[in-house]
Amino acid sequence: MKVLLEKELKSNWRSFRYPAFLLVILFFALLDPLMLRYMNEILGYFATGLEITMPEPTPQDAIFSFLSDVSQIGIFVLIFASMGSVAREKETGVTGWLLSKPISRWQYLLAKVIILYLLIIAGIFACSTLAYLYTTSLIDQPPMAESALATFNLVIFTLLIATLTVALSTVLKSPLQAGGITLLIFFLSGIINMLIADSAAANYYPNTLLSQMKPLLDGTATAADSAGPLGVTIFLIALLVILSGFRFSRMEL
Amino acid sequence: MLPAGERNSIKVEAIEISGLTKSFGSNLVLDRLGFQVRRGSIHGFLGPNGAGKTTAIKIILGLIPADSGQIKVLGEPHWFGRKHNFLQYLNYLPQDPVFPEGLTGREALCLVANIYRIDRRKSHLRIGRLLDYFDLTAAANRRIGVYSRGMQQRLGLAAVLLTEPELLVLDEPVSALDPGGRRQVLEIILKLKGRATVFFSSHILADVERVCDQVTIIDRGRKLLDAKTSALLNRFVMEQYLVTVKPDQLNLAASLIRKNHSVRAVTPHLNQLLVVSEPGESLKLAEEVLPELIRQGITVTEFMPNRTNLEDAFFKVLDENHRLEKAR
Repeated sequence: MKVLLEKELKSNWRSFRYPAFLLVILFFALLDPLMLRYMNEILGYFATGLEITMPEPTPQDAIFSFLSDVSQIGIFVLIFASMGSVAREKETGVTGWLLSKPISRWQYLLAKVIILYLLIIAGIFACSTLAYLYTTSLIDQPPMAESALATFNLVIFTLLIATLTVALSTVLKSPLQAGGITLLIFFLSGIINMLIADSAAANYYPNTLLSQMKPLLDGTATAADSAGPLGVTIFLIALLVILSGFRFSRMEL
Repeated sequence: MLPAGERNSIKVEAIEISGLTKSFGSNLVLDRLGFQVRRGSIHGFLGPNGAGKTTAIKIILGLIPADSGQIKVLGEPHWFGRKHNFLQYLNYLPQDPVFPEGLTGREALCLVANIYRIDRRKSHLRIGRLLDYFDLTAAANRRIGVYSRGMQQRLGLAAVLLTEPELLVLDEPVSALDPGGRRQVLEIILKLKGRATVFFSSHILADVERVCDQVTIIDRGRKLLDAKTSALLNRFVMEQYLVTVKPDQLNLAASLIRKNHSVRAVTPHLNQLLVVSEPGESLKLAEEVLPELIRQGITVTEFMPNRTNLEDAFFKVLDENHRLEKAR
C-alpha cells in the first residue's frame, strides 16, 4: 500500500494537478484577509466623487470569505484535478499494467482516495490556519474554535465532492465524463440547497455544512447544528467509496 | 506458496486453459479456446489481428472475466476479481508499455521492485544492471514521457526482467524495437529457456520461429493448431515437394503427377514443379510419384521437400481453416 501511496503522490504532484489545487486555496488564504482589510481604501481609490459607507471588516468576515471561495472555486479546481484519477489511467492502460502485478483492485483505489483525502485535509486546514494568522495580523483575531469548526465543515463537504469525482472517474470511461457529471451534481446540489433551505430536509442535506459556516463563525450556530448534515455526508462518502470499489473490482480493464 | 527457487520443481503446467469463451456483446471473441503452456518452455501465441490474442492474455492476467471456461496459472485456479498469488511470480509486458505519469525510468523500475517486494539492496543492483544492459542509464533520471517508443519498450522489458519472474507474459515484446534491439531481446528470451516460462504473442513470425519451442495459432477466437515449432515446420516441409525434370519433359511430368490421388496441386515454379500433397498424404506421394516418373521415362534430376518457414506454415494453417469453414 505504501508503494502505491508514494506512486500516487509523485504522479499527481509532478503532473501539477494537486499543486494547482493547493496554489488556488493558498491564493485565497493570502488574498481574502488582505482584500477585506483594504476594501475601503481600494473602493475609495477607484470611486472618486462617490460616498460609499462600508461596514468595518470583522475577522469572521475574512475567514468566511476564504472558506466561501474555497467552497466554490477551490472545489471547481479540485474536480478538474481529480476527474481523471482512475479514468485517465484506465484509458492509457496504466491501471491494467499495475493490476497485472500483485496488487488488489481495492488497494489501487484506496491509495488514490487516501492521497486525495490527505491533500484536502492538510491543504485546507493549513491554508485556513494561514488565513487565520494573516487575519489576526491585519484585522483582529478571529474566534479560534469557531474558525476550526467552520473549516471542518468545509473539509467534510469537499471530501464528499472529491469522493464523488473519484467514484465517477472509476465507473465512467473518460475523465471529461466524470468531471462534467460531478460539476453538474455540484451545481444542482447548490440549487437544491437554496430551495430546501427553510425545510426540515436541510438538517440532513450535505450543502447545509456550507450554509452553517457563517453562523458557526458568528457564534449563532453550534457544532450540534451541523451534526445531521455531517452524518449524512460521512455516510455518503463511505457509500460512494464502497459502491465504486465493488464496481471496480468487477470491471473489465 | 513456496519460495520462487523451490517452485521450479513443481510439475504442473505454467498455464492451462480449457473451454475459454468470451463475447463482447454479440461479438464472439474467444470460442472454447484451450491449450497448455509447459513450464520452462518458450511458447509463441500467434494469430492474425483480431484473433483474440490480447483478450486471452487479459483473461489470463485477470483483467477481464471469461464467460466460461477454466484457467489455471502456475497451478492456481483462476477466478476473476480475486487477488491471485500467482501474480507474485508472473510479470507482464503490454504491447505498448505504459508507466504511471510523471515517473522517471529509474523510479518506474523502483516502483516495480517495491510492488514485488524485492530487497532494496538487491533491487538497486539489478536496476543498475538492467538500465545499463538496455542502454537506458543516461536516460534513467528523465521522465518516461520524453522517452521514444523503443526506449519505453526496453524499459518495459527491464521492468519484466527485474522481478526474475517464473512466468513472463509478453504481448508483442519486440514490435517497437530496431533490428539490434530485437536481436538483443530474442537472445534474452532464449537465455530464459528452462529457467522461466515465456508466453508471448508476436506477429514477427521469424522471431517466434527462432526462439519458440511450442506455438499455438488461433483465429477468430478458436485454436487452429497447438504444436511444437519443429513439428509444425516439418509437417509443412513434408507436404510440399520441388521436382526438377528435363525442361522439355516438364508438361508431361506435370500431367503424370496430377493423376496421383495423393496430389492436391501441381504448379510450375521456376523450371521446376511445386507439388502439394493432400493433408497427411505426403509420404505416400513421395513413394508413388517418384517411381512412376522414372517408369515413364522422365529424367528426374531433383526431388526434394520444399523448405518452408513458420510464416508459410502460419498462413497455410489459416488457409486450411478458412477452406474448412467454407466447406462447412
